[in-house]
Amino acid sequence: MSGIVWLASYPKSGNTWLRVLLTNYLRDTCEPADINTLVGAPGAGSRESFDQWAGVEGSALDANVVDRLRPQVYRCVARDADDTLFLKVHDAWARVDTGEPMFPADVTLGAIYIIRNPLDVAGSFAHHWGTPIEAAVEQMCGSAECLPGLPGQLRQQVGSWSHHVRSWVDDSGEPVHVVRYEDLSVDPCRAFGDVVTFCGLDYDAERVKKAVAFSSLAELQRQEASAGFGERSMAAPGGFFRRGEVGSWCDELPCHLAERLTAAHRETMERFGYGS
Amino acid sequence: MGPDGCVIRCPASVGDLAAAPHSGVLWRAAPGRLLLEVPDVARYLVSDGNLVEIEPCGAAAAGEVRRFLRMTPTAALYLQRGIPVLHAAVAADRAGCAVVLAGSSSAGKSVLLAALVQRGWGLLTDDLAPVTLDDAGVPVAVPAWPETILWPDAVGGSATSVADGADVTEFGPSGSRRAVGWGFRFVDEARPVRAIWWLGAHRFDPIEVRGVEGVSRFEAFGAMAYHPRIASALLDRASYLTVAGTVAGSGIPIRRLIRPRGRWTAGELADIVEEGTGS
Repeated sequence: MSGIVWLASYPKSGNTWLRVLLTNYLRDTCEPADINTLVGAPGAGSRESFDQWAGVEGSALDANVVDRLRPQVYRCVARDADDTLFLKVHDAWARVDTGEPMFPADVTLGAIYIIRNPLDVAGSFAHHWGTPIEAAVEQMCGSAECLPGLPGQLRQQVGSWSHHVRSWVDDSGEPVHVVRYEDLSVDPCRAFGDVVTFCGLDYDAERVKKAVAFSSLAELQRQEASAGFGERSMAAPGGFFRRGEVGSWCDELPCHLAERLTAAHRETMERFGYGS
Repeated sequence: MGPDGCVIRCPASVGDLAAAPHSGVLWRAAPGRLLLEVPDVARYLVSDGNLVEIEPCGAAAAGEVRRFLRMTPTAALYLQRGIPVLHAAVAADRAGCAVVLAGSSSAGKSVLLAALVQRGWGLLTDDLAPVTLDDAGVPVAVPAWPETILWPDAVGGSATSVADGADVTEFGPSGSRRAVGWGFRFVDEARPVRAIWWLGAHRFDPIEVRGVEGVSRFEAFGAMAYHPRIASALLDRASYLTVAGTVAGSGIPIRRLIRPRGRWTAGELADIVEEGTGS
């Protein structure tokens, strides 16, 4: 069946890890998939894809006009695909200025929403963009609507962490399967197996186990060390695949920033099991 | 500029291409026809490689209408004439030969072109480069306009500016781009292609240079196309194969030139192109 499954998440929430798992599952080869050819890329924010389908370069257009055209670009992308298309997306779910959903329902099969404890996201976010952790926390609290500009990417409006979560889970009206990063860490076969089922893929327990084994942090770090990872931000002082630990905020996030995030996002955090 | 013998009618009443077999978001294409609709600017109908009819939107500034005319509609004119168009800038070296600087958006074509022009090279075109064969069957690059389009940071500080001495004007969404005029360096006739540099960017520090050889040369020519989906709809296969095959089978060097993202490399890249081209 042709259509798009959105792989949606606030940045640094495990989207890449999920794409590694999916790539290994779909390709089903006898060695780990190349991290530089993952499914889901180049993603919904790709300027090149936009330019190709729009017929005019996005950089020549007003950003609001670009947003207005994005739903039509996704229709073209879906029309051109032979099979289910997985697309990474960091934008919050939103309507463009005409009221139309940016991610059109008529070509959407569903969305996987990867959610991660925002206290852990903060350190990873700061590392990825090479910013002080205070700035990362403020961004997550909604100080800036958009992600920092990236070469080859369209404007991506994420809003605050809570807004992002609710936009996809509550507002989109699409079938959404929520995956907690923490569940993926504790029991990856079960959590990823649920993803496989939600996507309508043929479920095979042995393939799931193999995909999980091929997607270990050690393997990802090994590949990045030997050949690099094209999605690493130039601003990042170190590798893309860093710690991946649940609860790393305890030694990365000063107390006052943890309190700031918790105060800003308490309701959404508690809803998804990130209580005290 | 634009193809010789081209007629432009503006304002005109532009119809639809409802039955066009190829389409994207803002364009429809049928044999010999391209309709492009740029929101809030104009509708452009390009026909048979020699006619552009323009229906401007009510509030559109004339400069905006002209700016978009220089993009996809101009490419369509050449494609309809059987001339492939590369996503490339073209400089003229000191011997007057064309050096093609190809690459996708944000690859660094315009900055490198401007850096070479500042070293005394000529300019044939920025962003879209028609490449055809002359009467002797030699690949030649065709000129377009005497200006480069740059982001403000490339024109800004004196340490990095590649626009010293040029005529700079703001344009684009919220004045976000700079048009840099180089009339005094413009080469207004087709020149034989001496080298093709295929630009890219990666996240590692060293600048990488490597030759493209064998059958990959043919594939590379296709990968450098300007709006390949539109090209595929408009350009007849035989014309494409003739030009692409001639370039691929020629002695014209094709080299990948990959720069690191995140640091200013215009000068280093210009050094490499000068040395590699023997200029």
